[in-house]
Amino acid sequence: MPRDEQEFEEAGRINIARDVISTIAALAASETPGVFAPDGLPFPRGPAARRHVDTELLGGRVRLSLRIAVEYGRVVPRVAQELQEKVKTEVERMTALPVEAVDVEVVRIVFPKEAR
Amino acid sequence: MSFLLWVEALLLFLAAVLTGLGASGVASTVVLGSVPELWIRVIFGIFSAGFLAGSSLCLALWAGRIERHRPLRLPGPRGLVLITPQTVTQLAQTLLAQELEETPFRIRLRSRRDGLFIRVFLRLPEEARIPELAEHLQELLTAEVSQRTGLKVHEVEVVVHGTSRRV
Repeated sequence: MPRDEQEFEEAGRINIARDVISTIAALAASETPGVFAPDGLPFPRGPAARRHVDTELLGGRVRLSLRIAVEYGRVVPRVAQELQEKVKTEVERMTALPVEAVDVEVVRIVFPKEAR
Repeated sequence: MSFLLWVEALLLFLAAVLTGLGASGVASTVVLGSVPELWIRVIFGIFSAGFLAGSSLCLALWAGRIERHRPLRLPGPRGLVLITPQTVTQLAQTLLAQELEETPFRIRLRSRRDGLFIRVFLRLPEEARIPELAEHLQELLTAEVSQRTGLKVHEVEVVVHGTSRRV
């Protein structure tokens, strides 16, 4: 049964909400070159980004799904792999939770004139 | 596909008219009043067949639509990379628009689990020769789409359905 937060109980209780993990992933996405939000705008930071990021917590492991657009001219799988790497690194570094997978769905291409 | 839509529309329309006649009572008093019972059963059989065929076609069309919108999957070490057919179509359209400039064209994409089938419909640009143009577009799309998406392009079919000449 997936839970909304992950607990650590060594020296006390630490709860990490799923939304926090989504926000960290969104921040990593916003810093990855060539990654945009599905509406063609720069990937948002903060709560607005959560609709593009799904976080699952299963048995202490994290699984993330991100919906993105990729800038025209870039190699789509390369951008996606770079994003996966960055999200995994950032989430593991900031939460100490193991990231099982980062699935990336590329829903469209963004052209330079759209990207403001 | 458009032929199937027409057949579906026609079948549903016929079934709806016949049902409407039955419901309004016109069929029973004017038409069916003197018709033997066997014929009435046949007519109701036609209603039923019309609705069944129409709804089956509808389901088949929706299944095809869902299949066309299903993202293509590229498994990787960190998770899946899913690329929607819309993304690939956008990419192919941009490449063709740069190549064909003002020549009108449209693209139809069929995706299978292991790759893509692209069909390009276009009007032959002025002074262009079909074999050279088709070969060039096939090479361009196969190379660029494969390189930029990591997906295998199995086939690029070029359909020339007219010429675009200035008069």
